[in-house]
Amino acid sequence: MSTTTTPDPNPPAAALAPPPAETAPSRVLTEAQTFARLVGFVGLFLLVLGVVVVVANDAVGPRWVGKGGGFLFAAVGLALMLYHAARDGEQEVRRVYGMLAALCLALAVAAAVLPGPVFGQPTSGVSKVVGYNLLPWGVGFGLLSLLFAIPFARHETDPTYHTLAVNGLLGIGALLAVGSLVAGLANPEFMAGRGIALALLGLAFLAAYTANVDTSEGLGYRVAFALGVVGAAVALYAFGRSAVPTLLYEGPNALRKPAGDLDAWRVVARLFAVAAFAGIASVAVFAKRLPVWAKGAFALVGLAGVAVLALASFKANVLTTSPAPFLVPGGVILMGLGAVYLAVALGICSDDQFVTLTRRELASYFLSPIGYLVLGGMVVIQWIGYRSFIATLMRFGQAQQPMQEPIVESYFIALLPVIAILLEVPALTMRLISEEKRTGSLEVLLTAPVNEPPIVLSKFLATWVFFLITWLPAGLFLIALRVEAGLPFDYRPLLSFYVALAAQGLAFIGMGLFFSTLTRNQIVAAVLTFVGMLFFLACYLIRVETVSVGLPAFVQTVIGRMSFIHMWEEALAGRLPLRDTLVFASLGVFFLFLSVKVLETRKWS
Amino acid sequence: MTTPAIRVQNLVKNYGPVQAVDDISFEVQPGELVGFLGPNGAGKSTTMRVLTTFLPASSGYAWVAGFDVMYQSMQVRERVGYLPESVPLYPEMRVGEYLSYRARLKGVERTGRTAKLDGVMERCRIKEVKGRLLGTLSKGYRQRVGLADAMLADPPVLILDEPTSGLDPIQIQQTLDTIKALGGRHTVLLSTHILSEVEKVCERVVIINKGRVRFDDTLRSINDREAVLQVEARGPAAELAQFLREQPEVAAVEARPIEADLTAFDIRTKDRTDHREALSARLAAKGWPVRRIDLKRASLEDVYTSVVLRQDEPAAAPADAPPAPAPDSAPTVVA
Repeated sequence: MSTTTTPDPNPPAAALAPPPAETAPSRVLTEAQTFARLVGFVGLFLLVLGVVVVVANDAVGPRWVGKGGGFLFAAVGLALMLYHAARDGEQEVRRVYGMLAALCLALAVAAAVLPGPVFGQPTSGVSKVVGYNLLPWGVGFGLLSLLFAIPFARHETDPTYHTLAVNGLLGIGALLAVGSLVAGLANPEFMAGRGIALALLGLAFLAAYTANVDTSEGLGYRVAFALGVVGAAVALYAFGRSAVPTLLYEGPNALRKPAGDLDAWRVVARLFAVAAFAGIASVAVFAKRLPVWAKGAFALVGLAGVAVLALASFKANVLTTSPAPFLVPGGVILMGLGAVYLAVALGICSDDQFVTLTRRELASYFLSPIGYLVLGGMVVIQWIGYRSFIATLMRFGQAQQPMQEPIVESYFIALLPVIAILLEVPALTMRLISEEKRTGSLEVLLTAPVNEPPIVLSKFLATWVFFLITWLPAGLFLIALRVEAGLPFDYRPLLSFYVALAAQGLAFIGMGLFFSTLTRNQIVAAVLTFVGMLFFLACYLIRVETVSVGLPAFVQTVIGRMSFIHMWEEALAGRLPLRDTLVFASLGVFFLFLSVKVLETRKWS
Repeated sequence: MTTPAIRVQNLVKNYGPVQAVDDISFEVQPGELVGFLGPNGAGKSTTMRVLTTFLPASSGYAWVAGFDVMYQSMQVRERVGYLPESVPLYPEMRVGEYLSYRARLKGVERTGRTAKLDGVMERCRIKEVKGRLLGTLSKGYRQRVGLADAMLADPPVLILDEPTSGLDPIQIQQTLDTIKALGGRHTVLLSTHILSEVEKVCERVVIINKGRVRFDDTLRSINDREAVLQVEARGPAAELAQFLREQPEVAAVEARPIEADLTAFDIRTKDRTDHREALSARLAAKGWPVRRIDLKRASLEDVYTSVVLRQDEPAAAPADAPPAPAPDSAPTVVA
């Protein structure tokens, strides 16, 4: 019994109150999947209907519903079944879909291995060929198998089956990804068409595998790492095999003019290349945080490059036979695929802040509706453009008139694509920094040990990549046209158009990002970006003198130079306007610099 | 003398003409749990934003873990875990994904990262909602995710801005338990305007009002202050008061009428002995029934109220022992 008013200096240690019972989260009822099952059955019905239509068309002759309709039914049916597979985790349902995945896989293997057209006779009396059905049936069934295996692996709780599914994804993915690249190295002609399809399918399998395992350590990490190593090795090898024989064959004569004296520009270019490789080698010295093997790789590549260039500059006749063509198409495709593998592996394995931020930003486009909406809108717009392009082609074809070069001009330089790009850029960039400012997540981001440049650059890179992805369907439509028509097609204007678009994208996205940093309100950012895009459009209008604003001729010429539509015209005509590319690229860099500075202003106030 | 975990010296921060933080100075030693109290708009969040290097100070200095927040901002951010007032999360990401992303961003080592994340999620009790979208979480769970994010990289200093705002009573208790378990190994500066939380968790308290520090001392010292005897007795008020003042132990008496003949008295005694039994016996012997006799310790609430309401008093240094007050003077808070 205390008799003082001072509190006890040594109170008995209060027992820690037992942790109160967990009161949350709410109970999760396994919902009855009636709607999903209904959808699944409808999908199954449509699939069977589609198959029947296609078979009937082939066997009996053109029916009321054509073959295209049959394929459409089947595709819709498969999509509905996929929805059901994703929603319904019941054991019977998911096992059925797992078996369907296995069946598709078996069909894919059969299509790849069985010789010739399975039903019917091959054209022009040649014997049946193995792998005839690889494209499209083999790859198609392989893709279906992957799509149904993913929900099966996700819902499956039995460890045996789960491991089986996951390891199956790994095995098939590794086989396809590595095998197709190796086959492409051996036989470059394989790459265009089948090689790309098989490699990308393998990559998809591996991506599905890594999504189901822990990739920060263990087997998942090693697989992703190996993928990156394979990609880098193949890309480097393809690059070397394209460049080195040509260099060594040409020898020192490459640096000379036809008359025999040294060409100054070529010497400068050669020295620039030597400096670039020396720079690569110096990364090994200056980058402190890279692991040892990375530094070794950089050093090796750099020194090898310098050595080959030196050898080619001074010693003649190292190679006497003209090197076999490798670069187009096999070499380019191998380098591209290798780079894609490397990028995917970096995204999975690397802990670098910039890579982490970029990966999150790019994923956020696919996690929220905005990415799908923009992508869907662009596909629809490009599809409409494609249809009108086909109509134009057929009109000219029937009238037997030649079309003006570049033929694809009317496909890209029309009202709809211009409107599309005018609206797309604000839609993509408006939320970049504005939303983070408004919700306060910028505060959380900037109080982590991250500086402003990686934040700005990662948002920019992710948006730029997504922007280019939205313009991909246009090229895919043209490739589909070429496959359907069966006639050779010059890809180079298309490639130079994409390079021009990429450079313009740097400027547009940079501008959108800058306006997004200025305000917390997304609408204001969108409107400012739209005004900026209108300015670019105005450059075009001034150049074609639709809008004669009374400006002096000099100013009109300068502004007219910035017309992005004229740049498209030049690119589609086969000339890549290097000067304009550099202007747009440097505009992009300028806007990025401004964005970083705007973010840093909070430190000055 | 070890480097203080947080040291603020003459910090001033203006938002244009608005003086949010007006010359504050305080220190937090490593391992301490300090409560940062103040009414809304007092400058708590602003001070925290300056400490986490999000905003620059208008003048003055601040060091966290020995590093200057202005010039060594990167080192500061590597050692601080910050939970802002509105827990901003990306609604389209899932809990596990988000924490894994933040772990990578903060440079948590790859080997053992998964185990570490699991451990943090366990401690913050968000393991059950690991696969849920952040946009679908309730406020309590969002706060816990934010707390897990702050704790991820095991930072030596944790700065938590109103970590229990919007939580239900049980969640508040759980969060406070988690925070209390952090003390010792981590230094925690937590801001709130709920006094009971500070009393449960913190060892020291800094009270800030209108941008100035009004009080900076341990809770112990508040408890060690003189207790006040509260008596409610029935009888003529003036006689009662006179009788009480005449008692030898009594130093000061303050009367408050409740009913016509019922008065409440706040009595300060000259020493620290508990005089309740003696006083109540004497009052009863005189024929005045005692309805209530209580020993009321100085509480944080009293300190807070008096400190916040006296806006013109400058911040005072804490004293070791409260000196005896002059007899018959009105009771004042001995600073």
